Amino acid sequence: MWFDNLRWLRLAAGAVALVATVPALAGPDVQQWTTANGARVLFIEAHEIPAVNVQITFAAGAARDGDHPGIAHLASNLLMSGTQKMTADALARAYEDHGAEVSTGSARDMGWVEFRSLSDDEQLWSVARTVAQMMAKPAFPASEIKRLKDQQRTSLEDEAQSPGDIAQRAFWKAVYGDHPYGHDPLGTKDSIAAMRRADLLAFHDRYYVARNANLAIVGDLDRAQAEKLAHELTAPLAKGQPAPALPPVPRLDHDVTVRKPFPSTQAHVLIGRASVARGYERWPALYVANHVLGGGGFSSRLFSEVREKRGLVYSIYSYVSPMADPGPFIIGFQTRGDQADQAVGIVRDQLDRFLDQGARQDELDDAKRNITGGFPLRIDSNSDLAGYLSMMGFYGLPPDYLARFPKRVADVGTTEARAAFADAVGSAPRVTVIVGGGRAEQGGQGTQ
Amino acid sequence: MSRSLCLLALLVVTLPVAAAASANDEFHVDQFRLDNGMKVLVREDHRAPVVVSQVWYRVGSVDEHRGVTGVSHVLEHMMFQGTDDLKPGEFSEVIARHGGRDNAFTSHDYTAYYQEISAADLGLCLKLEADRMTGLTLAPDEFRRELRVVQEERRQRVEDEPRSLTYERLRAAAYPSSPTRSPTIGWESDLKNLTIDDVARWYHRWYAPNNATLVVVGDVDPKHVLALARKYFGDKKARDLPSRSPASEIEPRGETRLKVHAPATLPYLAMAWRVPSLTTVDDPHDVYALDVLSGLLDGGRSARIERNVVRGSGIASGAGASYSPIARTDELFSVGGTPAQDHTVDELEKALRAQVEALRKGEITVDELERVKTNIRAGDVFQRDSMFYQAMRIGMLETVGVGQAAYEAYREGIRKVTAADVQRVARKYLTDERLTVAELVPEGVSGKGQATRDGKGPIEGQSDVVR
Repeated sequence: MWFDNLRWLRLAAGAVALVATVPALAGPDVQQWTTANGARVLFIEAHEIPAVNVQITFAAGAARDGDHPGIAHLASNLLMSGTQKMTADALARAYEDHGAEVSTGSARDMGWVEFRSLSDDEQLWSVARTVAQMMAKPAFPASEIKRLKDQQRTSLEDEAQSPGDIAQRAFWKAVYGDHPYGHDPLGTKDSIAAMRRADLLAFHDRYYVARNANLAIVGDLDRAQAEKLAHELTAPLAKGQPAPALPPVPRLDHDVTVRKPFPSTQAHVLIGRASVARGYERWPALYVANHVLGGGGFSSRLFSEVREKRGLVYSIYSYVSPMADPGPFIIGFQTRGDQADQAVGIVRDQLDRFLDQGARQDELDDAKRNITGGFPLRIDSNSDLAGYLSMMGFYGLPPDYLARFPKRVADVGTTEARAAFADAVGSAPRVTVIVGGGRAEQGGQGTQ
Repeated sequence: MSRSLCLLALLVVTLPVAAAASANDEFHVDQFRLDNGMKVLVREDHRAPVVVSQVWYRVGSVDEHRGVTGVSHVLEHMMFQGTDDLKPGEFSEVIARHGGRDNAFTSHDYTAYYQEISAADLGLCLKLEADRMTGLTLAPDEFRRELRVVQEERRQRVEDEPRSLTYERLRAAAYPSSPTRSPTIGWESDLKNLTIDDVARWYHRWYAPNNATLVVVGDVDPKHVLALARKYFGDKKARDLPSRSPASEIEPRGETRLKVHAPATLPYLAMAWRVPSLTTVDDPHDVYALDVLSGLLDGGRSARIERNVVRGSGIASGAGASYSPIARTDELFSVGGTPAQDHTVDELEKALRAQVEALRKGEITVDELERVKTNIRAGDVFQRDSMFYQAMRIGMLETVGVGQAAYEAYREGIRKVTAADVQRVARKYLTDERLTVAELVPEGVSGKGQATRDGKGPIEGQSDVVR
């Protein structure tokens, strides 16, 4: 609460989206093992702070919704609604009496539980046992199902009043269609209403199982303690089965442009397509190439051309988000409604030029220096490290992935960068989504 | 917490609560002052070979007068647009080439610039910061373009964000007379009329070593940092700083209510009481008690708002409380949220008032008081995981004027807060006289938005509705 008055960052959006896709650094010793009932564990010992960060991920995201759009989201939220032995209130007290911070969440690929706790015996083991019960034996009480269904409907309405969220939803629908990535992870009003407790329990029992789980542990523990922690967390889980592979992503056969009216001063624009899956072999080259185009913050081409030269936007970025199936390449920005077409034209032109000519040697060198030189920064906290370990474990990347990444980046040349970008982003049909901007004339006169 | 529901609009920055830890791990900061008045504060953290370097200026929107609101923040943008030695944008390019990242932030109370970079490159950061402390170009062309960027920023963060818009209006209504009322990003009309001369005046008035604090956290030796600071900032001349107007605010005389109409589908309620901060309070124990009170209401899922208003009665879909005691002026103690399906803003207001009323009656158990303190202590340990937030806290304490000692005093003070203290401050400060209530009235999102009357909701009188 002391920091609530931090408000105006020069660049905020975009940077956030990048974090998830930035691989990190050499250095820390990543240990790996599998628990007795089949959960994979990645662990880094870090004794500087008397605390432990843990993330447990399951292939239990919206891509597993099946006939019940929104069920992964609801099941994840319901985990905090109590266990077979504790009410939601008792569960919250059990964590907070020990000063632990525990949360659950879900996205398209994953559902997860994460916590941090002080590492002394008195706090940690009690917290871990409660988290284990919560993951394995949640109660899903009827009153909580009703309340959280209402909350999910409210979230849907919240999405409907946000042009940025509307654009995201339209983008994923246009790119992925009927593929499991295509629908809104919140579901629809009807699908939420139709979910029964039995459906939720079935979803939980299928996906929140040990062989569908990955653990990332970073903190003030030795290997024996970490093994004990992994055991405590996973032992109550059913062994189960890993989630099956997802179906292939459909290919677009022509460019698609989606325009949706919205009474905002700015138009929210997304341009992109399905790109590559996690584990893509040319990922370092693609990462460097995108860094030059729009991933490198203040020094990227898009930032320079659209903001620094023309003042058309506050934030603009591009990223590739590799997922279990090919995730999207996205360029995103917001601009005053009456400037949207102009900005879209400039961005498309920049993208085509970049596809055609690739990065210059000096741009590539700068990007590589930024990425490799910035490595220590990306892993300078336990919570950062836990995030990377979690990603590596979930997508089955090797334990030396972090350690090798700087070298792989350093080896990228202009030819490889251009080829990887062409392969992953290429000339295949694209989706452009433009939402809102209708209030530009009244709400946002500019200074032109 | 549900995916896209930002509960208290601008308020919810879910960073760990700062604060108390056991007395044996004191948070040590080396403190120096250059001959020209610039402060240098260093915190060693040798976990990784990196450093966070921040230069803080004691100038923000509370220093701005009518007509130039937002000028501190526009100047912050211009600080990246070139000096005698650097082209526009080159500052960030140089930092990026060295593997670093840089940015800046402005608040009501301060403007700060930072780099996160390899510890070996600290000298580079200080050299560049020293250069732009006095050598800014402020070219008219760059200004015109950057002003458009800031206007886009305002649209993105406020105009098109109904809850931000509501909270902005709430603040303006809660502080009718002092500069505390205006938003850091500035009012739209002021931004439109701002000139390069306004920005230049601001720069020459406030950017001087004796109005600045360098904060460095990371893998460094404090003496070396001091030597680098002397090398790069040592020859800067101190400047006579203008006297600051005392930003005094007229006494609240009764509850203020307003409605904000905006293109939206969900209603939203924000209630805020004018309360003191660490710098304006007569007795800091009041601030410690208010912070614990905030924790009782919203210090986690077991806290009262989540337990009683979100889960128990189910009146709120999401709700929370917020209080930031490190400030140069009085602050707002805020509660608010979004009503659940089939519930109204009126019901939510009643439910939130009932939570406050229970505290005023002293209905506080020893258990929950201990839980709040435990979580504040644990949050302090967790926070040490981030060098950036260590630097933030050091810089804020120094720049608002309470100094580093205030942190130890705070940790000690939190430990001693009793149920009676919480009850006392609830009665003293969370009164209807000090309260402003803002309601976001959603006008739907179909059509082009003409119905929004330019996004400006009427302020419904500043009446004397007392209890």
